[in-house]
Amino acid sequence: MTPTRRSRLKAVRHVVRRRLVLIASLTGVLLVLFAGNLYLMSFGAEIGARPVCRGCVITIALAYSIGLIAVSAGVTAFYAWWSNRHLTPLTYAAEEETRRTGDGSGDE
Amino acid sequence: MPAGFLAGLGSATAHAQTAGGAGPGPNWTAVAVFLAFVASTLAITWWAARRTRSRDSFYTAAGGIPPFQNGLAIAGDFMSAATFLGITGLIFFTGYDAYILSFGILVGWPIMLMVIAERFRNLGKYTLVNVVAYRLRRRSVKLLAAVTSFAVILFYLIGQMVGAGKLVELLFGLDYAVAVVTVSVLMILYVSLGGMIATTWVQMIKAALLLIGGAYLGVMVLARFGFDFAALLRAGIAVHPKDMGLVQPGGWLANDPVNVLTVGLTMCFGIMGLPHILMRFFTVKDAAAARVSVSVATLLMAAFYILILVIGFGAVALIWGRPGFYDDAGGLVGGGNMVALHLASAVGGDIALGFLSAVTFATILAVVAGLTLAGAAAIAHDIYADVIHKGDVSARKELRVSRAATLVIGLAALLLGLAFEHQNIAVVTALALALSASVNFPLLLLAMYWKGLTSRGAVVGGSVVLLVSGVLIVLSDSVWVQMLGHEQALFPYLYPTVVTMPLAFLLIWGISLTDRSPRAAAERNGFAQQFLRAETGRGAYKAQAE
Repeated sequence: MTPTRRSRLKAVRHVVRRRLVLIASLTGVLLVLFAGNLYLMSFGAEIGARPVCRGCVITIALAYSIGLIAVSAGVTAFYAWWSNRHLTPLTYAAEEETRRTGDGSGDE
Repeated sequence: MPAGFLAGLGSATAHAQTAGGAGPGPNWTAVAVFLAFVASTLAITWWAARRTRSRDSFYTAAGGIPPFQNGLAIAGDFMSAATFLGITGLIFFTGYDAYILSFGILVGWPIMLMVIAERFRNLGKYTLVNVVAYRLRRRSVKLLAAVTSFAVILFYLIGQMVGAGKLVELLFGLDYAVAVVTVSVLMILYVSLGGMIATTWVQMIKAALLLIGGAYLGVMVLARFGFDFAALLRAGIAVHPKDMGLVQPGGWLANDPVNVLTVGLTMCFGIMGLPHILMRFFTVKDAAAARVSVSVATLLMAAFYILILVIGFGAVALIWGRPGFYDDAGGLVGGGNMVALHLASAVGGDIALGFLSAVTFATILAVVAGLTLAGAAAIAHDIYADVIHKGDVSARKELRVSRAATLVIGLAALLLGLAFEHQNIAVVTALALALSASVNFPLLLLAMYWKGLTSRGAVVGGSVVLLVSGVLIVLSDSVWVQMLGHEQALFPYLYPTVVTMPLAFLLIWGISLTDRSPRAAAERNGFAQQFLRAETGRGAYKAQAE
């Protein structure tokens, strides 16, 4: 079986689709949030310079950046947990299916 | 100085020289901690040397590093002296804007985890070139990727060497040349004898020490303000000439959208093409372990970058305008990059200063060891074995060449460190990240995800962008004005990435699309097999076997 046909196997498609959906969503969210921080430092600097509350010294931009770091760490932890729990078994299953349907050499 | 962040210690050059003469002389705590670090790491190197008999062990510790340890080492690779000293210094002088150097990088890490790490681990063997050239068989692709990797490493290395020399000159009262020779000798010993195992342990020890030191500083600073971050900021705002501007955007990048974007892109995507970081994905047993490594590293770095914020603003509150930290000319003793160390002195006295100084020097030592190993792999594996001998080299011979390459890189770093003593090191370090974001990252991403990529597209597009990046850096403020003495920069932005990264994608994409050669067709056909291996890891283990 050729690699092209093998990559169309159900198990492989399942792994690819699940990973792609999650990665695209999370990466998209992170890039949008990152763009938001760049906006607060440039076009939206006036908004970024405002304090988060009356009498506060912490500005919106500063709070946003700290939040962005927390979100980045959270996304990392979530993805690692999710992929170890859900993706790894699917990957092994996909690998097993390609092995069963392939020539078994592993490296074409 | 705006571009001084990543030069870290390097950009302290001029300042450190001033303070070098007026420096405090040897700090015996620093000497003791540093000697303990060197003694323990040399002992580890001796232990690791007995386990570094094969090419796999030398380059990747034969994939035997546990994920948590590897994560700690990755974090260590990135929590460099440049981060610790450079960013805190920039926050001290310019305020909030400098924090883009922290959150820009940290946003890049989860993206790297999800988009790059697993596939990279599944496809590669030792280096970035293995992945880029997985289905692109032309030697010119390997040569381009190897040369770019090596250039990134070399520029990074020069910044660290000069920084180490200046730091030791300032803190230990040693001559600059002696310091550079010391760093070179130690890094050659670590890498040539202990390979990746020793380098990883050196990096882990240093990362743990830096985290302890950073946490100590953060806690001590917050304790001064009743653990109230807002009170700390108020105290800083009260003494800083920027007033509320200290915590508002605009202090460094002047709200210029293009400059903000180019710095953001460089930070976020520059990390994804750094050879010494990418190489660490091969030091664990599989893609799942690589994933855990990156997540551990990201969590540690997130904590560290939050501490950097406390340390930076804490330094403003506790050091700004205090006579003991300024020289006769009114400049901060040791220059802008010594802010964190002055803060250590302010909150913990000579012992804290000595500890943090030694940790900072250990940090440089660990980073240069990682860079040297990645450089040796680029020379021995990518250029010597793959490009020159088309892969027809025995593992034993390649290992010998790697060790020889380590020696050559160490000597080159020594000579370049001496030659660049008086240069603006920010330029070469900025060039490293800009090249990484402009050439390595687009090549890597397209190689892994786009079926249409061909050798011609990669080589022509990559080479043109490499050239354009170099030209734009020469025309930028760092070289055109600060080094060549012109009045105004012809390229008005800090880094070329805002131009060169999109240009790289466009050129590589366009040239690959127009490539109708039989070789291009074969390369496109190879994508399905590559995709299967990248997604499932099938075949990945075979690549690790010796």
